[in-house]
Amino acid sequence: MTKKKTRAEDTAKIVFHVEDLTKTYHMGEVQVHALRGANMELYEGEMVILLGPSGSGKSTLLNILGGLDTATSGLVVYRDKDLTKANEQELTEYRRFHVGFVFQFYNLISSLTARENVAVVTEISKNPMSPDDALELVGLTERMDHFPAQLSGGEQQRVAIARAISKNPQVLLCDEPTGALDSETGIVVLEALERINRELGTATAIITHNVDIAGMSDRVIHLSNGVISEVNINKTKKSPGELHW
Amino acid sequence: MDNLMRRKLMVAGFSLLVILLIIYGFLPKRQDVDLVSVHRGDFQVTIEEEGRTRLKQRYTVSSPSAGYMRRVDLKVGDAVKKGQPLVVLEPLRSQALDPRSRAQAQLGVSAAQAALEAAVEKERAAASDAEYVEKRLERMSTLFSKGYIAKDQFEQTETEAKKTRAYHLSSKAAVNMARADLEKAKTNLLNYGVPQNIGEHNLIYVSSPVNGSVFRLYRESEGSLNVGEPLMDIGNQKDLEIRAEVLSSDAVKIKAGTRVLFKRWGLDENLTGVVRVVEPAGFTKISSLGVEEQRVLVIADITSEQEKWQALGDGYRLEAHFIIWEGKNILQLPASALFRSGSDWAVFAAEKGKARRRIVEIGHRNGLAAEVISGLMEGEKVIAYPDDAINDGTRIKQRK
Amino acid sequence: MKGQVFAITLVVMSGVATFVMFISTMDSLEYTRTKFYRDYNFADAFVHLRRAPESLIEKIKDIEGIRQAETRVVAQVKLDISGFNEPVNARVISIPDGGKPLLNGIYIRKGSLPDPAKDNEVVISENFAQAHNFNIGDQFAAIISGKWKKMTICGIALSPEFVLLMKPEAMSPDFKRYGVLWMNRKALSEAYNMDGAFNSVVLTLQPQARLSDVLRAIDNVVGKYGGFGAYGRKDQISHRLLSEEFKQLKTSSKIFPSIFIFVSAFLLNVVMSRTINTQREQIAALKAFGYGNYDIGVHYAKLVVLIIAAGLISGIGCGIWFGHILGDIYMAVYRFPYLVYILKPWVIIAAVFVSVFSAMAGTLHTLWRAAKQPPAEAMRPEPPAQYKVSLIEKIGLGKKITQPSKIIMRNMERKPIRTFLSIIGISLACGTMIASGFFKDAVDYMIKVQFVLSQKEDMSVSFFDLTSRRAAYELQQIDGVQYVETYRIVPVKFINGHRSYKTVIKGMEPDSRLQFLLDTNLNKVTLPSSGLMLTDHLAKILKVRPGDKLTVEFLEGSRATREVTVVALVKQYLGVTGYMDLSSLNRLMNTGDSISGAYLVTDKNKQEKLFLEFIKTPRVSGTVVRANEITNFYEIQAKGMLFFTFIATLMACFISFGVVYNNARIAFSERSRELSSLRVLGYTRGEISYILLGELALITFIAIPVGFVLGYWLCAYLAYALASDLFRVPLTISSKTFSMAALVVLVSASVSGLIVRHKLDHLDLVEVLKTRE
Repeated sequence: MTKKKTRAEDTAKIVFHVEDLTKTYHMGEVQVHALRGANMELYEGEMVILLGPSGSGKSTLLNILGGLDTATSGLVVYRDKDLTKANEQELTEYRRFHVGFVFQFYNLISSLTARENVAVVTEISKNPMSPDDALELVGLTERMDHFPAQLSGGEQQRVAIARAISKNPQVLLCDEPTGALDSETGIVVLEALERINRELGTATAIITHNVDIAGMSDRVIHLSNGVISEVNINKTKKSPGELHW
Repeated sequence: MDNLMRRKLMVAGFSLLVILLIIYGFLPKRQDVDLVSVHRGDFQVTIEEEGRTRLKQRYTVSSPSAGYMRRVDLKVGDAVKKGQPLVVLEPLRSQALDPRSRAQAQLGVSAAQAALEAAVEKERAAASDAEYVEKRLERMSTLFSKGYIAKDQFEQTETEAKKTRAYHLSSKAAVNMARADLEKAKTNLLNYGVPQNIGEHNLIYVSSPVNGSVFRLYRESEGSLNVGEPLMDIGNQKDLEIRAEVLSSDAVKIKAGTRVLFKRWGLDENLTGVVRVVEPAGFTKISSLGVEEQRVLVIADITSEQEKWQALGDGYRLEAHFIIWEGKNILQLPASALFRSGSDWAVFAAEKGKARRRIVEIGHRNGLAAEVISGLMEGEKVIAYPDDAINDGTRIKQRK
Repeated sequence: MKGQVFAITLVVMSGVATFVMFISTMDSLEYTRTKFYRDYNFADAFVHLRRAPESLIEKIKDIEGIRQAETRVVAQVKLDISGFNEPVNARVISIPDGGKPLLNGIYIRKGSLPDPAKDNEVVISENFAQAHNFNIGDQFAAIISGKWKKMTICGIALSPEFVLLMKPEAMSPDFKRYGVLWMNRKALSEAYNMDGAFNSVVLTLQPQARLSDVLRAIDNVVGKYGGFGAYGRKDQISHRLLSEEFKQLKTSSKIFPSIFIFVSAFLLNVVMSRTINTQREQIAALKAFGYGNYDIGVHYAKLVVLIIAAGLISGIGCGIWFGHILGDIYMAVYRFPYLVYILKPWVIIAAVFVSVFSAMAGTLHTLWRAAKQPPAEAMRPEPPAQYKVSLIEKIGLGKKITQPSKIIMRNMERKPIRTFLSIIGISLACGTMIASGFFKDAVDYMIKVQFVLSQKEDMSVSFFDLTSRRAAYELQQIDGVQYVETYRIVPVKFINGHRSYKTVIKGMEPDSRLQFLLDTNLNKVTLPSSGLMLTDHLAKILKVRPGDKLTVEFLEGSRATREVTVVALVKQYLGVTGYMDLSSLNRLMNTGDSISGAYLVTDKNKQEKLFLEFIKTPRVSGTVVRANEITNFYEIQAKGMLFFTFIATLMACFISFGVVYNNARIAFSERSRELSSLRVLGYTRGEISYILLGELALITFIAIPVGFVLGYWLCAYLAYALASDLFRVPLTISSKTFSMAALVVLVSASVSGLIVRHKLDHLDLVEVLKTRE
């Protein structure tokens, strides 16, 4: 596998540097080795898809990158910050100001409207965009005052995306964003992600087990059995509309 | 300011408010007290005792002799002048004109009369008997001297003559006796005689020895009197004095000239008086509490204008307050503020809304107030009847 | 779930425990009393008189309805106890020489009856013996009929006549200064010139006899011997006060457990509905498999019973334990020879029944709903909750509050009933605390009004017989006495139509500086120069108003009946009395200036000397020091009040903890997902705590003032329920009580909040990403 450099690689601004990352946790009496020495990098501005079957450790990797989980051993550096040495407060601060998160099941606050769900994050950010702008980016301006219970799955996910990027994060991490959606809606969501990555230049990492989606990213990082098995570069990125599943 | 900041401030502010309110609830509150002032004024220390009024001079008018008193017109309280007749005495009258007694007396006269007549007749009979025997004796003696009759016969007649003479004499005496009895009966009848007309010159007038009024009547209805029997008391109401039986330990503090106030005698205004005499000898008395005490009699005169105490009578009860010490312009405070602190007296003075304990020196004291010698100044306020809730430093306020 | 069940258990336990405690204590006391009365022949009727020949007893026995009658000689004496230089009085009762009394028997705890050959042996009451550390063989002196006499203690005893020993005008028993002595009849009669005579009769009645008829018949017989009016048990002071106590226990046993039952029902409802909701799928599956609604219902009903079982069992155990403690506290004041602890079966049955019933009532609706749903529907996920914009935002403040605050508001408004009930639950805890503080506040206030504001004397003396007013001067002149005011007390019967009441008229000096009558606003009321003033409560009993005429029958002296005008009413918390100007009273009774006693202001340093002096003063029958009355009261009541306050505080803590913790736990489980999401988004632990606990804090803060209001109403009800002619309870609550209630609620709410916060802090963030709602 040749390691060709992408545009991002050329500029060589590394957002994440992961070295020999292992994560072991206990489930009852069983020890699960989720990551067994993963190595990777994420470059500024790029979109990366983490691909792998369930149990491959991709979620664990994303969680550690997002500061939700801690490594058992290894090195995870975000820009110049060593996340493995960060304490709880530092991690919280890191997530607060630097990371945007999108969940598989949207995880919106059901008692807040779409706009308020975004405001929940902009309120605590240093340099956010306005909730209205964020929602405009995902094309939900008319549904701003609706509660999640009144929105479709796709709309909810788009609100979640708006929420994630409204803080102008350095990094956008998405865990199976289309996992709960049908392909049509899923494409709309992916389009939103693509647009943000393009317009804002936010480094984006998307987890999926769906190979078809892989075509829209700059690189595809394959995980298997807790290690990075291969890294592919997409010479040409497909647009989400061109994807089928 | 952004919402987050505002929220943080509000939460903090609200929490603080709640905590402050809770603390406030636990803080000791201002105690309600009654404040009284330290002031200057007249001060009196008195000894109080029950007193009774008494007429200084009480004249008991009594009957000068036995007699029959006419009904008295005077009533208790009536004014009398010196020399005014109070009681009219008639000489003793006989017993009642009782018809039965009279009839009996008359029968007595008749019986005596009859007895007299009987006695006279008896005497006549005795006289003629005696005369007859005398004549017989004369004859007999002539005959005897001539020896015609026996000596024996002659002596018989002599004896007879003696006998009849004796009978005659005794019947004469009986007549006298009967006559005397008749006189007695007649005199007796006189007692039951028809009412006589008493002449005015027989009456005795008992007059008043002084000006004054009647204080007591012993006899009111008419009837017979013995000599010396009391009839009424006359006295001058103006002559009332007050007598009080004072404890000997108190009596030493009272002397002649001590001023007295008389209270609770009936009308509102108090009367004034002056002690005239403190008797030197005490006497033992069981008090109302059942304790044996030594008491001394103190007598005082009333000095108020007589019009004020016109209504007072003899034997009226009142409260005598003997002023054993008085002063003017004395710095004093109500005794209710004082309490013991060890062997000293103390008060709680009000200073800037707080109670401050102060030891004070007390001079004279009566039941309601005490003289301040040191420790307080005029105009200061002190707490009356301080209770356990008051301590040095307690915040106080005057009760409404 | 464990924590919630624990919280509910605490609440159920509290409810059952208080219920069992109050009722069992009451039953125990009642049973013990009945047994004591029966075993020792407590009389049904009593009459005291001046003096009657022993032969009169035959006439009394002849009265229809009387079963047994016994004469005795009673007297009031002063005691001189070396080492205790305070005035002490005792009631002396005669007992048959060398034998036990037939009626109003005595239970000899230690020692024996007095030797009939001796005239200086006494049996004393146990409380009195304990207060002075007396033992058999100890000696003290008594002034019997004016003679100082040394007495030897031969026995220590109890009697149904003196289960509660109290001076008639006192506020609480004084074990040190008032006792009962039993002496041989012969010795006592000789001292009081009562050979062959008696001045007190006690009687038992036939079961079918009518008390009022018998009393009237007795009065007719003893009237001319100076009878003071026959009375039955319900007017006998010891019996009366004990009955009042029972009434109080009964009231308490109704109120407090009810609060707990309500709260526990509420909590159970919330917990069960939550449990059932989370188990919807399982229920649906069971129904799909053929289990009927009934089976499902029974299953959950069993769960409910299991949950409250722990509370029930521990509650009954605690109730019995506390019942014993409470019984002991009562025993210190009410003197029974033993306390038979009674736990009637119905109490347990009632406790179980009521708890289960209320639990069922609380959860029935939820059970029914769950059981009713068709399986297919139940298996579908629960539709998402519908939210609305909250009221706060509607009124325009929306822009000013943060999103988390909006979450709180909207959540509260989504389930208004649950929010409301939570507020009520916590406010009940607050109210319970206020009620417990109220007892102390009311007592403090009563004492302040009756013993501090109304009375200023240092001590008062009373006389054996009517005394001349001149005695005031004599008292004044005793060294140490600074100021004297006199009074007269006349026992009377007030009659208004068919209503009557036996009490006293107190004649007081006008412009008194030591005794004040107060109106409802604590302003002084001037004594009218003629006419009568009445305690407001008495006026209510007699249905008279100021301006009305009232018939007064004097039960002393001439026994005249007069009419007086009621001029004004006075507010009093203790007793019911009439008041008149002293001279006016004396005039009305056609006696000269006579007094029954005097109030004194004295020099504290000379007080002991005065006590000794008064012991020696023949006419003085007793001395009462005002400050002693107050300290004594608090001493006697202290333990009981402390116990009660402790229990109430504990209960309040349990309730507020239970409600807040339950709410917090349920909110936690309902929203842990959202809160974790927020954590992932960068919210700190503190910030998500705000969302969860903020709602609870808001509910608590709202509940506190609501609790103040509820507590006030509860106290008002208690004041009303406990009022009697013996005392009225003022409705006064100190700021300290309010603060304490708020503090306890806040602290217990904080503690449960902290426990939940601990859970929040340890949320597994990774989990949340994986799960659907």
